[in-house]
Amino acid sequence: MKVVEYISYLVLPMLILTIIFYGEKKKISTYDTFIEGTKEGFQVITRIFPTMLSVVVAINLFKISGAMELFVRCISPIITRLNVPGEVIPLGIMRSVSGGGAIAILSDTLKENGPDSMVGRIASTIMGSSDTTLYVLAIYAGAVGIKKTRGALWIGLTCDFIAFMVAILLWQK
Amino acid sequence: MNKIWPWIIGFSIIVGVFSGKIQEMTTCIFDSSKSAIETCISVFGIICLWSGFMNIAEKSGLLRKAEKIAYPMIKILFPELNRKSPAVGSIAMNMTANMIGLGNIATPMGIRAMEELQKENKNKSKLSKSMMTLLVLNMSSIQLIPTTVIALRASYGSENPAEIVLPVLIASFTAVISGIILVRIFGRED
Repeated sequence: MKVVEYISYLVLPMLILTIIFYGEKKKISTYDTFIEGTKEGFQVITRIFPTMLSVVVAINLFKISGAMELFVRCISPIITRLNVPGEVIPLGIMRSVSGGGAIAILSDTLKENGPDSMVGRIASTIMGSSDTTLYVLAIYAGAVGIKKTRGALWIGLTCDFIAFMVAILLWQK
Repeated sequence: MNKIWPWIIGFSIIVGVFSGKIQEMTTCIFDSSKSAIETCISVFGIICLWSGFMNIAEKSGLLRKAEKIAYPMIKILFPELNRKSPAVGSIAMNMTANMIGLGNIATPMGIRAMEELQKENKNKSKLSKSMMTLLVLNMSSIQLIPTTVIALRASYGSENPAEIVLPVLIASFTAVISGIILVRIFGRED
């Protein structure tokens, strides 16, 4: 674990060193080139922000209004038929929607059920095996100004569901 | 999004009114705008910084070199991609950063890759197959060691916090492979 951590911290500084070193070797005015490049970042942010805002507002409303709870309660009877423990359903939904929200639910689950219980293990695996689908889609598609993303959204959510089911199958006795 | 977004908002507000969460919703609307700008600002710095370094790598020809090395692997996942495409380098770096768990660095590289892919995209209003593949790789986690989860498990007194590493790998790889297959089946023809 320690070695892996060490390497992952080493990667970025080494990469920057390589870039600077190679630039100097090729006789490029690295500083000017750097400054010129950073300006592109501004354009990217102005393109991301509108999509980001729309997604964040919708998701937070969904959470706070109790709509998510209602949604979970509606689909629970169907999903528990697939041998899914009811405790992990809110996490499964939150995982695709909000990274911070999912961490909060995982913490609660680990505290209540214990990290080494079946539910605790399943929840940890769900958390680790997926990323925040909606956030990634908003940023990446927003950056290039593409609004027709329904196909990608469905594929992303299907992937999350597959990871969710595999996590449960792996830990269930 | 045009179809789903209004439904999520509409459904949430109606449920909120019936469950008496009116005040919370108003606060939430203001807070969300704030948190959206906070998220953007938190990635703003690293996106600019990385655009700067990438500009050096591009002008010096370092990126070309990296592309040549990464191309054989990238080609398997992105068969539509041309050998000379400038997206190859960004995709390779986005994937590497994701695997070692540097999510913050992966995002600016992924955005850069999206921009390059958009230049080659024939229908600019829709996602190409390559773009969808890149999205799948970022939406499903390809991180090799889920450090945050392990740390959280340890903090709640797990006897073996890292025992989830293999299951996580199995679950995420199954999801990624399924995602790639789905893109191949349902993705738009280029």
